[in-house]
Amino acid sequence: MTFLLEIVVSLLVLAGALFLLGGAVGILRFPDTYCRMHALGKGSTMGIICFMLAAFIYFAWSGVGICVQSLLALLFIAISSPVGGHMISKAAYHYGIPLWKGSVRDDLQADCEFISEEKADY
Amino acid sequence: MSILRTLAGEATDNAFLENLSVLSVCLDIAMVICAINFLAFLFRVLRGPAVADRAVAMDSCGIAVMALIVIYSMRQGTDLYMSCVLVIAILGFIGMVALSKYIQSGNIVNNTNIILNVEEAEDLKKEADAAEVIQQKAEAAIQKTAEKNVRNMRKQLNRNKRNK
Repeated sequence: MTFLLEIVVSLLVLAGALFLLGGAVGILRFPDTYCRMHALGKGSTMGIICFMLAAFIYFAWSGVGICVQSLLALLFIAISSPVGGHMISKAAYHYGIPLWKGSVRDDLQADCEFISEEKADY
Repeated sequence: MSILRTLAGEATDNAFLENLSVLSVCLDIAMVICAINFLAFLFRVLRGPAVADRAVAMDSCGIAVMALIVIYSMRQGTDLYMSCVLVIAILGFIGMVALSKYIQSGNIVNNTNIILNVEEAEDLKKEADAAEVIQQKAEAAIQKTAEKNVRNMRKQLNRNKRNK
């Protein structure tokens, strides 16, 4: 049982670190502001969820006690991080940051034509 | 046996973690990976072309710091650092919202000059079209008067030539 819990916590910690690493590779390699936001939103949310689950299991198992803060942080990050990413990408679109030249579909263009007619520089 | 403990001494040793060989090695690997992630996010903060890039990368710096704090508190075997994680999460979200408002409208609190409604935008567009039509009419009238003047001048010139 001890070994099983240890394996579970280790896998959760490694998975969280790998999700964060995916977000970091995405932010280094992707060509566009919106692509970078997409990578960061998914990767960091999933990584923090894994870390918080690992911390909760570890503290409950090692005798420290049930750590409520980790569950609260998990819930808050899972709600707030996608909302924040969505808000800031919409703000960036309204600001006039151009899309990547290889992107094929732009649904917001019909709605936001009046806001950024000419493309602003960064 | 932990790698970091052999490299550099640790402040307090966790008796519970010493018996687990797999978990301590995994915590070390995760700590190194999170440090690399933090450096990558900092690189994007320094070099990102847009303001939104820097904002999102800074928020993700906060998330990497949260992961490092979780690993550190697991290594120390204490519960107390998790409140810091919660505070950093809340501050990151509030900063993200404020920055998105700032990027969108140029100021945070005042929301009078944002156009988010489609009907309002259509009204503005109609007003702009009406103004454009009036301007076109005015230009056409000015051109007509100018042509009339030119015609009158030519007629007078012809009369003068005939009179001579």
